[in-house]
Amino acid sequence: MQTIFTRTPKLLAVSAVITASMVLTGCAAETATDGAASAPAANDAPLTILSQWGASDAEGLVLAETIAAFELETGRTVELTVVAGEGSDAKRTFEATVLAGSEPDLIFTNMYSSTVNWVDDGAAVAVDQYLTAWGLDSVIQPSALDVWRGSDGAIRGFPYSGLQWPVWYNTNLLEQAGVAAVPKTTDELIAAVKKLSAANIQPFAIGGNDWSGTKLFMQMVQNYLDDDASKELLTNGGYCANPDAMKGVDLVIDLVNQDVFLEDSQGLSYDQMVASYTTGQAAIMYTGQWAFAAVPEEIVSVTEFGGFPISSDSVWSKPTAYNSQNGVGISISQNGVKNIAAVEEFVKFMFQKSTVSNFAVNANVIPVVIPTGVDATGADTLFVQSVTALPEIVSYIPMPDDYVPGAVINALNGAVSLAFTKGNDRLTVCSALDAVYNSAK
Amino acid sequence: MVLAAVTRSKRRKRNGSGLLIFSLPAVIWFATFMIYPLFSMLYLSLTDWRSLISSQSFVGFAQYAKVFADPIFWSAFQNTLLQLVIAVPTMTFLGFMLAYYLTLKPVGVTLLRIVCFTPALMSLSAKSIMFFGAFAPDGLINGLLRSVGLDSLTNAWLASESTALYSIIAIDIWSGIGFTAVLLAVRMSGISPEIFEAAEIDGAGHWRKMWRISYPVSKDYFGGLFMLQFLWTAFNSAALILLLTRGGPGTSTYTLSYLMYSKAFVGQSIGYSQVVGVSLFVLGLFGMWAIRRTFRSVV
Repeated sequence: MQTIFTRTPKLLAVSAVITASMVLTGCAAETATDGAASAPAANDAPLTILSQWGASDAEGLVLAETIAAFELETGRTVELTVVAGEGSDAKRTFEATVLAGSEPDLIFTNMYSSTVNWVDDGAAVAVDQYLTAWGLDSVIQPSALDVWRGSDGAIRGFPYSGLQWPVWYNTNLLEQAGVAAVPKTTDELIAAVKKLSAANIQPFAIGGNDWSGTKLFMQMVQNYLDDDASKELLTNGGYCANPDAMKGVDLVIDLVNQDVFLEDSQGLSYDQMVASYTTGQAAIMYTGQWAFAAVPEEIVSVTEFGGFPISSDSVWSKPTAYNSQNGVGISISQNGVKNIAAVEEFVKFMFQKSTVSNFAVNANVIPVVIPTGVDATGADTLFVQSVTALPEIVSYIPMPDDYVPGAVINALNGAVSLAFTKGNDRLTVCSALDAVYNSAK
Repeated sequence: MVLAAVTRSKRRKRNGSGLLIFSLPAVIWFATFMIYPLFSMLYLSLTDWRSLISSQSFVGFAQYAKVFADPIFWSAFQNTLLQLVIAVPTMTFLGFMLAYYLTLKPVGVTLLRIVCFTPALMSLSAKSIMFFGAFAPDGLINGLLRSVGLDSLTNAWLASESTALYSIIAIDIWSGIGFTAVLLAVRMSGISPEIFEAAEIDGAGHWRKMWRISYPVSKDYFGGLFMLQFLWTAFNSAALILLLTRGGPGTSTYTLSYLMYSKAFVGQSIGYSQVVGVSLFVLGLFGMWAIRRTFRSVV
């Protein structure tokens, strides 16, 4: 993926400048419509929006703020429905409203699982024509549009945010245990964990019972798979018959048996993982930029991002991490087409430089717009670290959400939890994974 | 005489028409909400249908062949049988024994009845949160075990293949015993005290009074409750599993009920889920037949 945040030599040299007058290259671009919003249309039908961003989450708060600003500027009314939680909840809600013929005009969700089929099923419309007519084709990164492009070439919606998914290291706890630097290899990781355990500090927290564990498992398996091999495995499965994937499964089993992860990780959830880390109990955890806002300052100041350590025979040269341009995007429903004037105004408003910057600075939303440079002073420290330092020190590998079939991904959680259970062998793990893929074929 | 016969026939017809008119709303309701969905399920099980907003294609019994060749289906089938065989008899027989105790009117019987009925008054979400905390690796059960020096017995109860399903079954039993007991106690309180007094004179203890008097007298009622618990357990297990384990680890807590939900709402395969639904329906019918035969009164 082309990152929109590339550090200039100046930024590399003078870190203070990053926070004072950071140039996050590409936080937004001028849209074709900046300053050309339509005249207020108070008599038009209200614009209805369904969002998966939680009302009390940073993203949800900024969305609400954006909607209020939009209403003030245009005189339109916006009705926002929030279905927080996993994205699948918002998707199911949308599909229920489609059946009832009362679907919202716009849906904020990711291009994943059932969303991929909405245009084919007639629930949403391809946005190619709007993209050009509204001048957004010169605003949104082509690579992000590709993520939202269906097999027929049509673009399913407007991608709006990307994501960064680093491994978090508490350098204070590492230091206390006598670990001088963030581990970059699995041998270093094992050595670090032994020191942490000896110092009675919890090592690597992970939600082995849910999607966070599944993502980390995939990432560890991809240690032995290059881009193409990763995409093939993620798309079609076939773990038991793939020697490189099995090397990855062996790596996971070895790390579990060496107590790299918290005891009984197979029973822990994402929330428990975050709680362990943010309360200063666990030294390492694994989550993305959506969690930045909830981290207390004392943990922020000692957090250093890195990738997941690689083995000596890895196909990658640096620790691995996920990033993606498939965070959240905006789909237009059939009802949205009937209310297209309001939809146009709002979508353009969302892609205005000020709006995009507001989402980046105040909600840690990584934009997917074409780099032009914008002042993002005040952005979260972790956010800055994730978009400037992280890309320099990790190898980005294919993100499962972009390749694993929607019918498979949730069922994989149960299979992956077997890998985080001590004592399970490679055949048990790979058979469970393959069974999930086969069941969905 | 002929005239009388004609009159009777007319009256019967008139009564029949009246009955039909009065029962028509119920018949329409039953046909619309029971028969139609049943046939829909049978039809949909023969289709390949991704989601409610997508189009269907008729694939016939190929869908059944696919499902019956899927090891996850058989794992769910096996887990369902295990759940039914352990949970239903345990909760009903223990419930029966508790009911007998309630009929003895021990001190604090009113409070005991309320305590017994409490699980039935708790929402499933509340129950799930409570047991999620109890079964968590650092939860109540492991805490108790550690406090008495049984650290080696601690476990990630809901996340271990060997204990997850049994943990779910334990919750089923906990939820069902008190409810069954309170209902059975109502029936057993109708048994004449003289029968028990006569048995006592003959030297019968509680065990014999329970199984030689209370049980035969309330056998029909017991059978009815057994059947209800069987159906509730078989058809309603999805929600608890969804909230606690989502079928994992592996497929160790997949039941037919959960698999049906999972395939329809998560796995984008409504056709598959309806095959599971038909299988569950057949299992339910067979179970009802077996229970009726077992508890049919010999009188």
